Amino acid sequence: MEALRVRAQYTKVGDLRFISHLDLTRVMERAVKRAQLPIAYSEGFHPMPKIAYGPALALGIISRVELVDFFFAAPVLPTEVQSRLNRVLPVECRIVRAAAVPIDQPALTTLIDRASYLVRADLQLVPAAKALPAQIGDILERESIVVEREKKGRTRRVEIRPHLLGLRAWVDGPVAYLEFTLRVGSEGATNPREVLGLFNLDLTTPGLLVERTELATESEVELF
Amino acid sequence: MQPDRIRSILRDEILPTVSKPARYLGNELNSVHKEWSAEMVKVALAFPDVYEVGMSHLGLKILYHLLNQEDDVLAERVYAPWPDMEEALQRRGVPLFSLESSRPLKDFDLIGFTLQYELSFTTILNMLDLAGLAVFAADRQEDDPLVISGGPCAFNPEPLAPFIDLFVIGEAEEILPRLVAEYRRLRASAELSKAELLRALAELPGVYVPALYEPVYDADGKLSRWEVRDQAPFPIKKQVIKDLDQAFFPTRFIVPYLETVHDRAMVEVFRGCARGCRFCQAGMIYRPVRERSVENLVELAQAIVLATGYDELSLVSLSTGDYTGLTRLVEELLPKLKERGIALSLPSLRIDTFAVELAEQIQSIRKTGLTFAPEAGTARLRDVINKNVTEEDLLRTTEAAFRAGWHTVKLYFMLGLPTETDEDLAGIYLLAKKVADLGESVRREIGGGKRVTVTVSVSSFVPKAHTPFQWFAQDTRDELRRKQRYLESLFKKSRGLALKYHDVDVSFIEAVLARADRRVAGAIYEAWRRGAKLEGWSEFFCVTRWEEAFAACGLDPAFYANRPRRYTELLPWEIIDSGVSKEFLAREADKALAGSKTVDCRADCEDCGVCPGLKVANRLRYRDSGLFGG
Ligand code: SF4
Repeated sequence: MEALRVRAQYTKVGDLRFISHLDLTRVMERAVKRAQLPIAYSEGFHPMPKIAYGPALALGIISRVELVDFFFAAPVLPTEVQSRLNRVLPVECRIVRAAAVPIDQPALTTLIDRASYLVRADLQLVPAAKALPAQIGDILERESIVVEREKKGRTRRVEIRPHLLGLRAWVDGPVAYLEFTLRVGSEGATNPREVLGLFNLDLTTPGLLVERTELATESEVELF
Repeated sequence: MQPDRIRSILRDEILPTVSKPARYLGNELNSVHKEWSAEMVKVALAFPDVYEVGMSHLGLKILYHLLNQEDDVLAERVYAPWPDMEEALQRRGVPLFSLESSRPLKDFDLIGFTLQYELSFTTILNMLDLAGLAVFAADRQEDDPLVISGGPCAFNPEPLAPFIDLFVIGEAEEILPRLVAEYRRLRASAELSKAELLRALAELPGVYVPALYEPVYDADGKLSRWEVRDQAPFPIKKQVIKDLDQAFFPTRFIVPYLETVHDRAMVEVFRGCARGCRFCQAGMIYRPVRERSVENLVELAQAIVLATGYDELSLVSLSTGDYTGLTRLVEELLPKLKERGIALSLPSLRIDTFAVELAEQIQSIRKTGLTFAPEAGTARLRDVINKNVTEEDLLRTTEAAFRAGWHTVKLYFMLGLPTETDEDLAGIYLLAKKVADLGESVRREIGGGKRVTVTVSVSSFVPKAHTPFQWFAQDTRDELRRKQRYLESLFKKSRGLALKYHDVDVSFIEAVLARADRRVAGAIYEAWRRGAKLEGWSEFFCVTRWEEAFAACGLDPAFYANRPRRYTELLPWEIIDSGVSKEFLAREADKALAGSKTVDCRADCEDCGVCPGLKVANRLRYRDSGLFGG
């Protein structure tokens, strides 16, 4: 039984970029237990704490805009959820804001349909990134961009152009920047790896730091 | 290399590219990060396997927190890197480093390897090499760290003797703090050479410095005597904790980011096991039984779940169902845990009807995995190995389990036990079949439900040092394979029965290493040089490498694995006194051959020698519980 739904925005920065989304869910569950918050549990033989996450963040990417919903069995102030969790969470994972949201609101994974990213490329380690501003014009002009996606050992060809909602690049001193917004969710999606692939870059390229900078919804619903 | 440099190479270049980078972070919840200073004694606790395996091991966690409790001691962890990480480190010239402070292992005073299974031996050599240290102790420099080692495999330390400076024999909680204190004292008091330092440390009880002992062999290759140097103590007596309630047990356990093999909170309810199974090394070397009190356990459990946030607490021991306070403990603990959404689990529960009731009460043991270990297929052979489980017990318990809703049962057996015949193998099949049939009839009776499956898992018997079976031969690999095929032919025609068995070559190499003498060290070295490491992972085990290694050293592996020994033969591990007397082991071996049983020594002392020898006693908390011996 849940009485209250609290949405929190949290960070996953520093070394925590090297833990998977699944690992992070365990960090969160344990923090809730250690903070002794009145979390609600699912029914069944193995009751699980009711915590629902936004779209998973790929290993290697940092973010300060991640979202999670906690369902509590007893009333508790959102500010208290924030302060009690921050006392037990690793420093790289901080709750930066928390607010109550309607209990019957659709799930975060349903609501969120776009995500923005900022890539910083250290030009000393990735000199090729100097060409990023020149390359994006060509990509934006293309009507179709097809990538290969592997799923269960089978490769499929997928059209991602409609899911690429914005693309910008610039160079500032020793750093090249690439910024893009993607469609995510059930209506079709692409991901940072595929976008980086268009520039022959990868999440594992040394000298790249990828950050998710925004999660948003086109619906009427206010996330906070 | 400076720790800052290692840290930045790691974050910027290596971690983005390797599998499971969370293995190498070192900043998990409750990890201890201390300032480095000259006065500190710095200990690297090393587990010769990857992070997920090493972080599941309770003993090393206890030591980590025990050592870090001291202000002037610092303990950090190191695990074997996965091959992709090893390659990345080597390519950049980064030496193996500790997780907490990213310090090269060479910067530590002591490097302690825990020895849990024989197949990890080559990984120790690999880790020393990755640390930039010579693998042979004699080749290491004066100012290199001391390489020490302990754990169950240290009860036959000989195959590792040339690589290790010093072994600790017995319970490290008892020895290690004393060793560290003595090390500090000696280091401060005088300019000792490494050899002098080791000679002085050898005076500590439970410390074995192999360089002080030289094995001498007969013309026929058997050990004939030890040349003891410098009047070093002989033999080395195992050290134990007398009262577990007085012993240190951590509450602020490190909580890994990665899912590890045993990813849960643990409290150790007791140490030792008195059942006396004749094949079991743990049952012999961890004697006697020492129980914690219920009060202590409840307190520890609550503190641990609060400090870690785990959603599961495990009551661990060699055989948790034998704890005399189990009913009381579960009654007290269960409501406290339930309130916080924490499940209770009891691995290594010797399954009987009581256990099924308990499991139902706890409701946290998944109804998919129920395991029994009859170990042998016939009553006769179970008497030989002193596994006191009757067929009626097993059937009564499985029936109760089926009625309680379980539908998958796993049965564990061993192949190649002393005196085993094909009739005993057929017994494995018949027993499994009876369990499966029983399951089906229960299912029909209660009307439906899932079809019952019985999985039979058969390992090959590996004779171990310090057990009554230490004198017996392991079946040859051909014979073990024949037995596996025979079993397969029996199981082929049955529905609902699945048969699994272990790789015969793996068991063979384990058998060689488990009863090896010092000469086998050469083969370990040769196998490592040919690429052996992480051999607990089947994808990395390769028997031809070992066969080449034995050949290169002129050793016959069958001499170690497949040769029966006489009681009069001097055994390489007799340099270690486990407290259990040779007379007792021989008596048990004779009784095994006569098919006669030995009772649980909590009911009746069987004079194994441990209690008087180590000045300890079985320490049972609730003798009135009627849980043992009748
Ligand atoms: S001395 Fe007796 S009571 Fe003590 S462990 Fe041995 S058999 Fe058991």
